[in-house]
Amino acid sequence: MIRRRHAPIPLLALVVLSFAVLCAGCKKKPAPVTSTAEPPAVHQTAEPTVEPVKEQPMKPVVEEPAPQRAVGADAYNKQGLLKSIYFDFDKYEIRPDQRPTLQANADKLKAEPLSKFRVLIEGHCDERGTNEYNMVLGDRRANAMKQYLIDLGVPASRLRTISYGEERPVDPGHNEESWAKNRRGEFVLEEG
Amino acid sequence: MNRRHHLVATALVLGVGTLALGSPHALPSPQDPNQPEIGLKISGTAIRKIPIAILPFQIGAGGAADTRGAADTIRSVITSDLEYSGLFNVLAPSMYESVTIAGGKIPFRDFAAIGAQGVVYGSVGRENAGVAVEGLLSDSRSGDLIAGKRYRGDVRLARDIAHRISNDIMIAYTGRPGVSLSRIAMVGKVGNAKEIHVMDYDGADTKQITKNKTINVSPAWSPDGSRLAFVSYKQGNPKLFLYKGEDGSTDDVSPPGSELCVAPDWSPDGRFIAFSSSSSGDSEIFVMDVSTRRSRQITFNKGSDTSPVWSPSGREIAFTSDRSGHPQIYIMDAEGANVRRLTSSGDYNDSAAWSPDGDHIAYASRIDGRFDILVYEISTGKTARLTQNVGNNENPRWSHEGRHLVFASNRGGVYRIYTMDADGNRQEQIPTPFEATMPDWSR
Repeated sequence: MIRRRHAPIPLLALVVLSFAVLCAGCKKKPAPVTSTAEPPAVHQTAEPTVEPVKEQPMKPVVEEPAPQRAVGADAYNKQGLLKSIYFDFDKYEIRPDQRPTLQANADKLKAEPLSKFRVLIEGHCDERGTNEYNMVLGDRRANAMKQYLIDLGVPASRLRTISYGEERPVDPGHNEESWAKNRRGEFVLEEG
Repeated sequence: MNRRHHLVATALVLGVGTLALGSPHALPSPQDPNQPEIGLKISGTAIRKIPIAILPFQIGAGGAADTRGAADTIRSVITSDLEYSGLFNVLAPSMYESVTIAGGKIPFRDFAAIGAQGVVYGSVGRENAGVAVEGLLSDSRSGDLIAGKRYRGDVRLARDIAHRISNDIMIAYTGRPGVSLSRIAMVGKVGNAKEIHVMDYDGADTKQITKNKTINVSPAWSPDGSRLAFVSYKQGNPKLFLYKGEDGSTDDVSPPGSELCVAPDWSPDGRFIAFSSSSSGDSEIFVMDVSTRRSRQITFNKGSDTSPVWSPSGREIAFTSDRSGHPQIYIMDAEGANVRRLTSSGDYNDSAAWSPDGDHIAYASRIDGRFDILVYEISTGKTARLTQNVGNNENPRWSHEGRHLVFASNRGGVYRIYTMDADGNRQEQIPTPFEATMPDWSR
C-alpha cells in the first residue's frame, strides 16, 4: 500500500529532473526561444545521471507551461480550489445546501491535478459552546465531512481530520453573522 | 515551577498554644465527623467570622529602609489572604489606632477590648543576603502564642512568606490549609497562540509554561501540584501532555492512534488521568495509568463522552455525554459501569467539577443562550444558580478547601479569570495580563 502511494513520486521526480535539464540547457544557449521545444536535444545532452529519463516519454514535461511547474499542495490551497462548508448551531449534520459544495470538492479531489494530494479536514465551531465540548463538536463535524467524501468516492486513506473547536475563528466578531462563518469545515491539501 | 519550593523555610516553630480552639468563637474542628464542614453550604449559612487584628510588622535586627517595603507587603498580603478566606473579619486599623505598643510589648487585652480574637504581628529583619521574618499569632484574651514561625528567604519572596504566614494562621484556627499558597493554571492568549500559564491564586507571579505558539488548553494540576496535564496542538492534532515542574520537561502521553485528546483530570491519588479521546468522531473516556502510560477505555456507547472529572473518593467519575442528543452531565463508577444522568434540565450542560466534600457538582449550563455556573447538591438533588445576567460563565473548578470556585467569564467583554465563594458571593476578577480561560486551581 505504501509503495502504491509512493508510485507517483518517481514520475514527479522525472518531471522535475527533466525540467531542470531543460532549463539548464536553456541558460547555456544564448538564443533559447526557438530551441526549447525540442525534446530530442535534451535527450542528447543528458548526463549519465539522468539516464532513466530516456526511458520515459517526455511529452508531458514539454507541454507543461513553465509558470506552473512548482504547483504543490500549498499553491493549490492558496488558490482556494476546495471550498469551506458551513454548519447549523450545535449541529454536525451536513446541511442540504452544503452538499453541492462537498460534491464539487469531492469531484476535484478525484480528478487531476488534486488527485495526488491528501486532505486534512478541519472541524471548527463558533464561540458559543464550552471550549471542551466544542473540541468534540468540531471532531464530529470533521468526521461527518470525511464520511461524506468517502461516500462520494474519495479514498479514506487520503483523508484525515482535526478539530480546532472554537480556537480558530475566521471572524472575530460576536454576532450571528460572525458565528455563522465560524461554524465551518475547511479542506487543506497536503502532499501525498 | 513554584518559587516557594526554593524558599529556605526553616520555619522555626517558636511555640504553639493550644487554648484558642476552645474559645466560643472557634470554628468546629474539621477532624470531628459530627460537625459540618466549613463554608460548603450553598444556601449561604452565615459563618461566624473570627475578628482579627493584623499589626504593622516591625523592622527587626539589621533591618534597613528596604525591609520596610517587605514589611508593608507582608501585612497587606496577610490581610488579603485572611479576608479572601471568608473565615476572618480583619479589623480596620482605625479601630486600634489609640492602642499604643510600647517597647515591642503588645497589650493584648486592649485588642480583646475592641473585639479582636486574635492578633497577628511580627518583624522583618536582615539575615545574610535575604530577610528573616517572624510571623506570630496570639490569642488576645490570654496573650498565648497560637502560631509562630521564622521564615527566611530572598526579599523578593516577601509575598510568598506572607502567604505562608496566612496559611499557618488558617491551620491554627481550622486545622487545615487555606488557599493562600495555591496556584491557578489557565490558558492565556498570547498573540494568536494559546499558552498554559500559572499564577498565584491572587494573580501575582504569572509564569508562562508552554511556549510553542500553537494552541494549548485544558490544564489540570496533579494533586501534589508538581505536574500539569494539558492538551496541545503542537504536533498537529490535539494530544495529551504532561508537564513536570521539577525539570520543566513535557512528555507526550497520548495513546497511540488517537486523533483528539481532550479534558484531562487527575484521580485524587495522582495515579490516574481520565481524559477523552476520539479516533472516528465518537469521543470516549479513557483512564491512563500515569506510571505505565497505558490507557484503558471505560465508555463504549454511541455518542460523544468527554470532560471526565473524578469524585474526591476516586470511586466515581462525572462526565459530559451527548448520547441523549445534547450535552448533559452523567455519573458513572470509575470503572465505567452504573451510568446515570445527573442533569435533567437545559439543552447544554458541560464542565462538571466535583467539590472536595463530594456532595456538590458545579457545571456550566446554557440558559437563554448564555452560560452560567450551577451547583448540583447530590444529597438533595437541588440545584443552585451562582451566576446570572453577567455574560458567559464557564469552566468552574473548586478550590481544594471547597470554599471557593474559579471560572472564566466574558462579563467584562473578553474572557478573564474570576473567583467566587461557593455560594456565589464575592465574584471578583483575578487580574491577568492577557485574555484568559480554562482555569484549574491547585491544592
